[in-house]
Amino acid sequence: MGQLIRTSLRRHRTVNRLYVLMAAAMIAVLYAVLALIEDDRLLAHTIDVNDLTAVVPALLVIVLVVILLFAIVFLLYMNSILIEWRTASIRVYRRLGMPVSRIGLGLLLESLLLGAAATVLGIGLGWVFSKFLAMMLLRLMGVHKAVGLLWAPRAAVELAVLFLVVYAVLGTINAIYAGNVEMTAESAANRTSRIPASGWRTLVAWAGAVVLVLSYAAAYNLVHLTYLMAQRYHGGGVWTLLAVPALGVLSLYVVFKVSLPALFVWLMKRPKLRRNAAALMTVTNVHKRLLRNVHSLFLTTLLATITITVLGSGAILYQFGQRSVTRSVALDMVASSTGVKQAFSKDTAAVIKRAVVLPTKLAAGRLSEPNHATGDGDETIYNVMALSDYTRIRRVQKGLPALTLGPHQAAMILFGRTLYQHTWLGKRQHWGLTLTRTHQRFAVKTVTGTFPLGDSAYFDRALVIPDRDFRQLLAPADPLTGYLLKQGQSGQAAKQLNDGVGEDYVGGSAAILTGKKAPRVKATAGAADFGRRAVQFKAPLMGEMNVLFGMGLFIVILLGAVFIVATASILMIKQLMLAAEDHQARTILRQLGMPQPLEQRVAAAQTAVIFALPLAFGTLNSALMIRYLSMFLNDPGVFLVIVIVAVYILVYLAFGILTVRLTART
Amino acid sequence: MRVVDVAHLTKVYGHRLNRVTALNDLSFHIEAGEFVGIMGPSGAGKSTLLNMIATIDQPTSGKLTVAGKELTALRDSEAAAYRREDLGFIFQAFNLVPDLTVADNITLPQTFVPPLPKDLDQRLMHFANLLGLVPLLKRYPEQLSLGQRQRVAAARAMIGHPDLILADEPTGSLDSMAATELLQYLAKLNLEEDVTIMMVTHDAFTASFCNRIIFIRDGAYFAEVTRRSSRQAFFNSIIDMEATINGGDRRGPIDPH
Repeated sequence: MGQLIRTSLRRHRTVNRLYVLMAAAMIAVLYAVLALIEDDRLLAHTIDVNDLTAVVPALLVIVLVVILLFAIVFLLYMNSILIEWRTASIRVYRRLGMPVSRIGLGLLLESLLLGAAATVLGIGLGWVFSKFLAMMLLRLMGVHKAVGLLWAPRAAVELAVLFLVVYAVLGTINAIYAGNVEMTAESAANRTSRIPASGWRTLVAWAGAVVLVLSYAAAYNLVHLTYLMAQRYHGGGVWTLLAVPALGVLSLYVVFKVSLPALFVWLMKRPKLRRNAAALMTVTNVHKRLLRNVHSLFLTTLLATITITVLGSGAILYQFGQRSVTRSVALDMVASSTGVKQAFSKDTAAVIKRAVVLPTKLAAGRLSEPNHATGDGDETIYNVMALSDYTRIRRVQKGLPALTLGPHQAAMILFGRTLYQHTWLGKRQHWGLTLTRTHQRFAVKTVTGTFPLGDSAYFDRALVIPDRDFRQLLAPADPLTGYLLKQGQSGQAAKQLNDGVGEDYVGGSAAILTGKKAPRVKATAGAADFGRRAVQFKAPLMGEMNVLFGMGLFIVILLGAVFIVATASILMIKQLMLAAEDHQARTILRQLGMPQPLEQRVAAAQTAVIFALPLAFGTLNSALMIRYLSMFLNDPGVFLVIVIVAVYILVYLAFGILTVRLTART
Repeated sequence: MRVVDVAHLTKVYGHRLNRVTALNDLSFHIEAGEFVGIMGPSGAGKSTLLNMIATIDQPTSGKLTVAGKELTALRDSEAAAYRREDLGFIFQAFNLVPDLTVADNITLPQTFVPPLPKDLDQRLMHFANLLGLVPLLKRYPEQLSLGQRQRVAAARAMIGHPDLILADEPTGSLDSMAATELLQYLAKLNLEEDVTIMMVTHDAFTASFCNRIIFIRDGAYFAEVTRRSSRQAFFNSIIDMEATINGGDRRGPIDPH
């Protein structure tokens, strides 16, 4: 028995080592999170930051459960492909008359040995990793506290027992599988992997590809499509929201199962390609891998989609949080005319470095759209400003978009401009805006979401019009002032003033909106009034945002890292198994005189295609999902998402290179 | 013209305490256009010799020249080029690439490195015609009979117009009918294309299709038999020699007891 286990471990040592390393990496993350949860003194620092951070321990437990479930599913999946790979040798043992009980016991003991190695290694790595994890959590939440390695014996014992049970279950599954291996069947390696071309398959291949492209186009226009369907059919919006992703997932599967293999069969028949051994072998091997690995490729694509979306959304939320603070309060302090009166004192004057004034006028306006599309008949209050004042503010407020306007043209600035954005479905809208009291009419040339001095200084929307029109506009003035404060004074000034600052209101009654009455700023609120804070500070908002979104970012980075490594490992181990099966074919090619660099090029190209497929589809899917989510966040920016995709590509590249190297060794 | 020149070839495997001499000062040569068989009992060193000529293995000492190339002096890339351009190989297990069609299997070695032979399609059709493979060109190896597979391997070995074809037990996996058919094709190739063939075999019937048989034993040259009359007579002399090689040492003094 011992000899049998030793032989088996030696025979599969490359794949076993990787299997143990992957499992150890997951156990390490689990240990580090569990140790963090059990360290009450450390978590107390995070709980004390503000009211919201009290949920940190609960969130960590949820993360722990998610990773634990994922790790178990991952191990089950890996175990199933590893045991299938060993079917041929199990069959030989059975044919030679080895009792099933003995084979099963061997597999169980082998599984327990691998499990013990993974657990010991994982807990060791987790102990080292725990310090970095704790530091990452604290720094992202803005807590500056020194942390050491976290040793939690209870966590270690709990994880060890849990994973030994998991590996025992896996071993038992393998033993049952070994008992059911048929002695007469052909091994997977010898099974033919060719599917005969037929008219039906070609039709399905095309249908899958076309439906996928259509579902991508629909996902790109999802907001407008949902709006359109909701207007046309009762419940059409919800059905559209469900149908587009469902069709996308279904057609993606058909693309992996039928369309891509059909494409590679078509490529294999190209005369030019058939005259280039490297290209022919690459295309042939990729075709074989597509047929043999369709489920793992589809699964990794879905996981890549989820991972990039989760990471990307987390990053976008973090970036959105930072941007939204800047969008909300563009300079260190922003005040209305009543706010200036309330805030201005000797103490405040001492900390001001620079002040800029933005003159605006309050007017009600009505949008009109000739085809009665989005926004038609929309009435609200606008802070109207001159183009020259807007351009002047751009000098102190980075990120405020440049505007050019002709006579009687206007730029509308509003928060949440999702439905006003132009896409393929929504590009034919031509909005006109009439100021209801003065009857001045403007063509809306541009819609943006960035307010000069920040959106918190406005009652609702802003309107930028040419200087001449602004001078002619007879409406109550509502000047806004932005302040840049001296370095390090911002937080202190906010603490001093925050409690004494009141609110401004403006009426939103039908009489005001239809232009019968002029809108005026007042200190008391009515039922339909618009309101704003008279003075806003940036520093306290930014501090709260960092704590809140830093916590979220920590969680998504943790989950994302686990998912990335898991998907790449599944691909790598599957490729190594096929490489082992292809060993004979590679030997033949070498004997026939294939140069070694050419052989390496084929291995690199086929690995690159197999790793690139889930990455490319996953990135595309995530890009569409993140785009949809980000539309509701008012242009949060994509820089961090690009960074995340780049990191994902780098991780896959590293796994790809490792796969090519191990393939050469196999 | 001498195509293969084996001079004092020795191959020793293992280390100081566990040495096995696979080839022991072996010398012989093969002229262009010959169809030579290599025979000998198991462990005589036939496969080792074949691996040396195929540059898959290196000799411990001695000289090995094929088509004027000194094989022991070749670098890896030169050895690959030699296998690609100067050598055709027919294996017992066919060694076809299962995922390629018959046509692609045959042309594969010619497409490893540019330039591509301009007449590759004509060559393909020529050898497909010669070996009766024309209706099978679009099929995959697993859709062929064993005999057909070996004919594909023969066409692949031939298509590069090599100086030498090595056949390692080419009939070992075939039934007698398929074996006879393949050997007739090989003899046809040897006669019509003037190809030099060196075939390793255990089987006297298979060997009887050759012009000359070199017998080796314990890694050394033992004897040789040349065909001078009918195939039946040649077959009988091979059987005689086999009996001798398995029964005693022809070159040594006969023990009266």
